[in-house]
Amino acid sequence: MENYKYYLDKLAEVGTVEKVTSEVAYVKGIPNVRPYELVVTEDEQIGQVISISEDFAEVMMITGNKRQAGMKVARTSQNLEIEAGDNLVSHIIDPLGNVIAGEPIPGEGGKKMRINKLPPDLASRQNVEELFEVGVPWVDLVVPLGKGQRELVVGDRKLGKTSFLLQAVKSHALKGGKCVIAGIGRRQKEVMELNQFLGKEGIWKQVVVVVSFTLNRAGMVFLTPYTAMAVAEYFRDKGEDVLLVLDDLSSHAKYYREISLLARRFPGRSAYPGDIYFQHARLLERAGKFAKGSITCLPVSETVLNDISGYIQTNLMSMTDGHILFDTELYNQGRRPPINSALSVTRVGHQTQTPLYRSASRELSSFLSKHSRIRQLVHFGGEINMEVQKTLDREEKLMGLFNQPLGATVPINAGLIYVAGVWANIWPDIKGNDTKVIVRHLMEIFSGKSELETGLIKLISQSGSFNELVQKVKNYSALFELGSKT
Amino acid sequence: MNIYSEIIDNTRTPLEARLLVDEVEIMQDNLKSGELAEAKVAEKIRGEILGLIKNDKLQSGLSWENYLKGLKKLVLSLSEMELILAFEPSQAAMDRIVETVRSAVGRPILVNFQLDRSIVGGAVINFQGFHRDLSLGRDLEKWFGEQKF
Repeated sequence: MENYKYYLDKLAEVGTVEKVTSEVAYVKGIPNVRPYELVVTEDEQIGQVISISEDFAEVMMITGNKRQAGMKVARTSQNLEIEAGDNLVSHIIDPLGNVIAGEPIPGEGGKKMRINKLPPDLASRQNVEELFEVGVPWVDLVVPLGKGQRELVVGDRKLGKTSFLLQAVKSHALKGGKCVIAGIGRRQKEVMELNQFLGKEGIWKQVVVVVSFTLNRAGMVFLTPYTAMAVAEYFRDKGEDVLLVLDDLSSHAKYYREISLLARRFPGRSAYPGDIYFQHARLLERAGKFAKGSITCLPVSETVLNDISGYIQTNLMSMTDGHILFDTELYNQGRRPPINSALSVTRVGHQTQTPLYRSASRELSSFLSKHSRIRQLVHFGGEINMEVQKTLDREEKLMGLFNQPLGATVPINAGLIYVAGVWANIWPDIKGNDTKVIVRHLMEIFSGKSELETGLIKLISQSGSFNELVQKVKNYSALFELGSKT
Repeated sequence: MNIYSEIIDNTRTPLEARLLVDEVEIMQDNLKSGELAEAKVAEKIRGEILGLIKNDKLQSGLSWENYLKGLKKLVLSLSEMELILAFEPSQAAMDRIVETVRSAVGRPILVNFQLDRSIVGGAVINFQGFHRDLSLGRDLEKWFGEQKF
């Protein structure tokens, strides 16, 4: 971007700041200004026009701390753009594309991507048909995702949502997929921890982080997810399958509420502006499956006391293809991740599964539902017969798979074989931590370094349904041996 | 001649306009039974302005209340043009500039004279959101930038 004098000479239009609040400036003049256009003040601060009236243009200030009435403003005739390129990976950038941490971005020749743009039309979209492996069995087996799906991650604070998202990022990056993480109004400590995680896992080469801090201007924070989406669109246009994480949109809504109230917009429900739905919908609709590439979007929303009927939460649920609910009660019971599969939904995930996985998913969902009823019965002192005991034992073994350590990712095939093994009861005596040992062995088998992997993959590919797989697993002696290694 | 025209002709800059509005408000505050308490306002406003207003009001046939209301509304509605010069103009120069500008625009406007020696000569004009840089400084920069000496 050029300086104030350049645009003043080029476009020959000038405005004056008549009134100013902390985030919004009211500019008189600049008669041909358009909505979403960038303007620059005489001390080189940047703002974006959010609305135009007869007398003023309302400008949301993005940079700078100094605000003064009487300051001169020039139009730029530009919308906000970011120069996106392959050289953005391994960097933490701000919503304007400036590097926050690390080396300067090498090279030039990136593509200019508009930050605010209309979502693609219906004709350019395709069905979600390919499975998106997250590396978390709770999700991969019970609430599966597809490439191009928008799945909301919702729950109270400190329940492990961010850890879950990082597991998804790790899983996708290790397969060579690109990941874009948007940290919206984050603390610097959190960004530092993210930086350390990505470095430790060795996946920086596949990740771009777009971040705004709590100390930034509300306008800058507001732009963060749109910039992240623009970067994701660059990689999508190259034919890649991109994972986009937006952490979190509840904060984003609060910052937008702040800007709107300062701009004296009429407050709606919970004092949010009337167009908050539009702001999020126009962002999330840009994700999806397309002819060239896909953007799988995992927006996050924080709840208070597990209330998913909140305004922002219900808005986001209605504009996404499902949601994964993190439950406080399950967290308190020690479940990690504490995903409530009964209340989680995937609207397009099951169509990406093969018949085998679909039947396994159905079997698991039905078992978990039955188990929760039995648990309630046992809790109230109900009689425990053989059938009930069998269910409880099976559940205990399943938790060996579903309770995942932080940062660990479990290949989906490993999870499936484990579940089939539990159903086939090939490890009848294993309990507690021994289950985790078996899961670990299976993870090693499916890490591509074991001869057993080929045999097991063949087993999976030859099974048309979960019951068929269970029968085959009963006769697979190598799996029995895993039980003796505990 | 239209009502208010002579008064507006004497109001060239935003400062003069603000002063005039203040004076009109003083007169409005000193109206008793539809008549102006001249003795009270004479010590607070400019003598020549009071004279102009009295004559103009007489010719207009309006009541004091309506006349002052109309005058205030007109003055507040005047557009403002920012004119940046490299020198401080004399009164005569200011009159000439205002007359030229008003004749070019076709209606009364206020001219906000500002000083910026860095433009060297010429003028920079900002009017109704449009900007025109007719300064010598800019032309010199452009010319020396294009030519290789």
